[in-house]
Amino acid sequence: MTHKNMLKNRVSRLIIFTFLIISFFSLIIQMKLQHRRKSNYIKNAKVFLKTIVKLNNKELTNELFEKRIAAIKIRSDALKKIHLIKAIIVYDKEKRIVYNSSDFKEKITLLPNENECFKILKLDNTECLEYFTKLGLSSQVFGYIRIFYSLEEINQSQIFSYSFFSLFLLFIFVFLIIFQQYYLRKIFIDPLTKLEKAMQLISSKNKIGTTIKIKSNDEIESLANSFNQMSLNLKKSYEEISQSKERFHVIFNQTFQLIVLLDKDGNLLEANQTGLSFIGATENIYSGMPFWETPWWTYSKEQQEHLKNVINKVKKGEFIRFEAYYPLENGKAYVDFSVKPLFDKSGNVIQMIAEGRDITDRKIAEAQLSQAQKMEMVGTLAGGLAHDFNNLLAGILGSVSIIKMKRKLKKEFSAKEFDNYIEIIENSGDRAANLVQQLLSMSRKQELVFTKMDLNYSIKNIIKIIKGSLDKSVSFNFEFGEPAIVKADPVQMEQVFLNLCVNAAHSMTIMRPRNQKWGGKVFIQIDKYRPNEKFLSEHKEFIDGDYVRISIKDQGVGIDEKYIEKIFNPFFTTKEKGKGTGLGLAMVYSIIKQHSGYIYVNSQKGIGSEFQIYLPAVKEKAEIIEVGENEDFELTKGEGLILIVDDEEILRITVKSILEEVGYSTIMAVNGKEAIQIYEERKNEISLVLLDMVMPIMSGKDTFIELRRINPNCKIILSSGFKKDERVQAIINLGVNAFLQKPYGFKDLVNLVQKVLTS
Amino acid sequence: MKLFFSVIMIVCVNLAFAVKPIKIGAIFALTGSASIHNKYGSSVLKVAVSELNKKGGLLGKKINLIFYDNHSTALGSKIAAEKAVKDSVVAVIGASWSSHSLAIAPILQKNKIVEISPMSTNPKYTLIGDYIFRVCFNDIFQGKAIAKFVHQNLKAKKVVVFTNEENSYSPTLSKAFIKNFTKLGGKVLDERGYLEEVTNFDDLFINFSSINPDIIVLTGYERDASFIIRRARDLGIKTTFVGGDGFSEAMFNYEKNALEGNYFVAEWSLETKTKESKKFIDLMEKKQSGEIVSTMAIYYDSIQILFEAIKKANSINSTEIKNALYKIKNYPGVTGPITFDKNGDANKQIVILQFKGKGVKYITSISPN
Repeated sequence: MTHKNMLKNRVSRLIIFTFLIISFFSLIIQMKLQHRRKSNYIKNAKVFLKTIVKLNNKELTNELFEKRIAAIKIRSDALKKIHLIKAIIVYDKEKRIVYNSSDFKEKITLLPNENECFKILKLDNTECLEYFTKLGLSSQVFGYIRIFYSLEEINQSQIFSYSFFSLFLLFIFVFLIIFQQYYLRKIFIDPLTKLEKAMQLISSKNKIGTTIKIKSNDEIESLANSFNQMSLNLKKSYEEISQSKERFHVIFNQTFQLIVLLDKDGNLLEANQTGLSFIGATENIYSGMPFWETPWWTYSKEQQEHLKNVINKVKKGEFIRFEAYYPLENGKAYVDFSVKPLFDKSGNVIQMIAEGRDITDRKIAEAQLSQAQKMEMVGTLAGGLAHDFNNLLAGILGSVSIIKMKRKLKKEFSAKEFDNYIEIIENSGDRAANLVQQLLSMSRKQELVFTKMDLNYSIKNIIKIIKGSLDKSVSFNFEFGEPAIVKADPVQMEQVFLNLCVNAAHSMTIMRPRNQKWGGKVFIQIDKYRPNEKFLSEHKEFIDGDYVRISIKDQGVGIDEKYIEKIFNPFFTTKEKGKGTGLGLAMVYSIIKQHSGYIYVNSQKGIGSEFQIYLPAVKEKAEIIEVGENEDFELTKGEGLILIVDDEEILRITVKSILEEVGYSTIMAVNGKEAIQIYEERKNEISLVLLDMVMPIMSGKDTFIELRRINPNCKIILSSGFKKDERVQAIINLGVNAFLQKPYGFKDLVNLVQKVLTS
Repeated sequence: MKLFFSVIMIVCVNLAFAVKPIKIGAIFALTGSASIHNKYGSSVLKVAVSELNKKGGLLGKKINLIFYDNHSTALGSKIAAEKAVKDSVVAVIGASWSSHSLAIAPILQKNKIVEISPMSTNPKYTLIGDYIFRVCFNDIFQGKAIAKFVHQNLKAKKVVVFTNEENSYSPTLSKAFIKNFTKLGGKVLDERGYLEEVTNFDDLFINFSSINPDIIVLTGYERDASFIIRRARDLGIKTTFVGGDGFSEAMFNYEKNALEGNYFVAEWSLETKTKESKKFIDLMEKKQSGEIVSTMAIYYDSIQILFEAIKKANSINSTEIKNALYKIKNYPGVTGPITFDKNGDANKQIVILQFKGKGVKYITSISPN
């Protein structure tokens, strides 16, 4: 409000100032004009009076000469009738008044020495021009005349002029005031007020799009129109932004992914609905907290630390993608998490976007895929394995038959013969146990467990396994080399080699065209590798370092050039329909990638293919030591009561025999429950418990826990067919004394028992 | 050389002296408002002089009539008189108006030069000196006569008097009239004055209807009288005017129709049946081209009586002429017998004329007894 006053005041001051200046100058001009006017008037009057006297001079002189006073009177009176002549006084030669026709009340005196002149004086408050002159002919003076010419007219006229002028100025002033009051308001203040109100509505009351109507056909109307346009544009923009924001929010919240917006320091700004639902929240109550301290991560210190590191990297501008997991009631949710920095124009990180895609299903699918693949392998192997088994069983049963027969026939056979047959039985049993082991390990769903291992052993195992499954025409060429130590999951590695070897074999057999002869050699090589510059430039993704290189080369049909790129694609197969799932190489590729390795293929159609695997080498010695291979038959006798817990009768009997042979006494329990009962009763007597994992009624784990509850120092050896299963691992973590892998040999069992008892 | 020139000079002087004419001055208005009136008189004087000169002049000498213009003003008359004196005239005929004559008289009297006025009627005129003469009546008589005429002849009871204040004649005459008229029992309702050269005489007729006189006595001269009468008639005033000897036929120069029926005083009427009148009329008809007006006779008488005096005196000495004038008894003038009294007045009769049609009609005469 005060602003409008200022405008009015300013204009007022300006108006007054201008008015005063104009008035002042006008007044000066007016005064000058009036002065000049009066001067001219008086000049004219003088001329007029002179003329009057001149015209009457002759007659007046005669009248004075003849002393015609009556005539002088008539003449003077007539002259006095002339407009503005107020008095005429006629004097004789001696300056005595002959006739005085004046109206004036005031007495008019004549100074003795007056000569012809003009004077301005005031008589009876009237300003008069007086003319005094002589009357006569040529040089002779007969008398004098004095005429008084009133200047009242000019004076009045001037007063009127001034009055009019003043009135005019006043009028102008009044008009200006009115103008200021009314027009200023109308032209400027009102429209501006309108404008201001509209602006206020927009800014403080958020009435976006407010317009005003001004029809004054001038710049103000123009301004109003521009304002309206701007307002409508603003409205449009605002609506667009609102819509955009809506849309964004819809997308943000409805998206299947978890999206979290972070500030440049990694503090949570906003999480979308999907993200919130992950942690069971409905509102963004964690805004402002560092992301790694929010409920999405607090379940695991390790995950928190990892995220913190990731965010630190992202702060520097990196884009990090990793797999995180989130614990659920029954299992885990796997999340493909990425944190991406947002830059401003100068390249500074201003925000981060963290996204998570639930890949649990994918993981499941992957696992299933893996499983399927394994199944396929198992299927492939099954025939061979069955065959192998049969052979082995044949060996065992055959040997047993012979012994039985010989015994029945009461035939003697030599210790050597006997030993031979025992050897066969044992070997076959060993082999069978191994096969079972392999099969089991392959069929089971297992998590990756990275351990330092020597790949030579993996390859050796695989070759041993598949030899029987494959066509006789295929031969393997492998030499055990230097320790090829890598950090890998042994099971996965065996899967890889299995896959590749099978593929190699197939390429030389079932994939050969009909007319071609089956067979060929599979060359497998392991060595250490350090890439050179040429290699690195050809393989741009290859990270420099020490690697273990495995090469599997066949002499098979090779891969068509146009298929080489697709060879690792899931479901892609060059085999006939039904002959393969197409998952094998995809699995291999996935596994190698998970091991931070690389796999490349060279192939020539009709010649053969070579698969090269590069895995990062590790310096230390392998941890995995093959259990067993101790050829020492020295049996150490032992003492003690051992509780054997296994639901399998044959196993119970076998173990019992073995242990009692070396001097232990045994008790048996068929399940966990019974085991607990027995232990409860005889815990002081029992020195060791041999516990099977998989049992009905009470699981190995529960049994173990219960045993330890009863006696924390209870010595327990866990035995299981599952190698390093997570359940096994869990129990191992709980503190089992030792682990015995089934199938185990006599020596294994005895040594381990002794080891545990003496520890 | 010197001797030769002086001899020539003496001869010339003697010659001049020998044939030197008699200078007679005539001071009249050749310009100004009196000039209309004076032109008639002037032509009469010229005719008289030329007739005389034809007969051989006077005393063997020719008469040189020198006109001096007084510009119709008293001052002009004074100056003219001074000039005439300087010219050594033996006598002066002039002026017509009393104001003029009154201005001339003192100067001529001082210089002992005879002045004969044809028409000046102001009583004071002849009292200025013994050299001053008039051949007409004076205003004392004229006023009485007009009063008698107005009262008795016109039977007017109430009159208004208009006076021309600009001169010495009109106020005196008005005063004389008023005195006599009132004495006779008449009533003068108002006396109004005006100035000579005025053209707007409306002021004279202010409130005139409320006054309603029987007669307006107007003692002014031809010009102003004509305008006044005209104005009266324009204003619808039908009152008859009676004028003094300032009126004459010259008024027809100013006004044609309005003068009808108005009376005025004159020295002579054309209808006069005397021998002298007839002779004069014949002479005028023969010798001058213009019309003959009633004022002409008195001019003729004024110069003729001078000629008579000079003849009788047998001298051009002004004093002797003066003496001779006083001795003349009953000179047979056109206007009547002329005898100067001791003041120089002629004491003549007046005639009353009336404007009729394009001329004047003789009404009556009034003698001073």
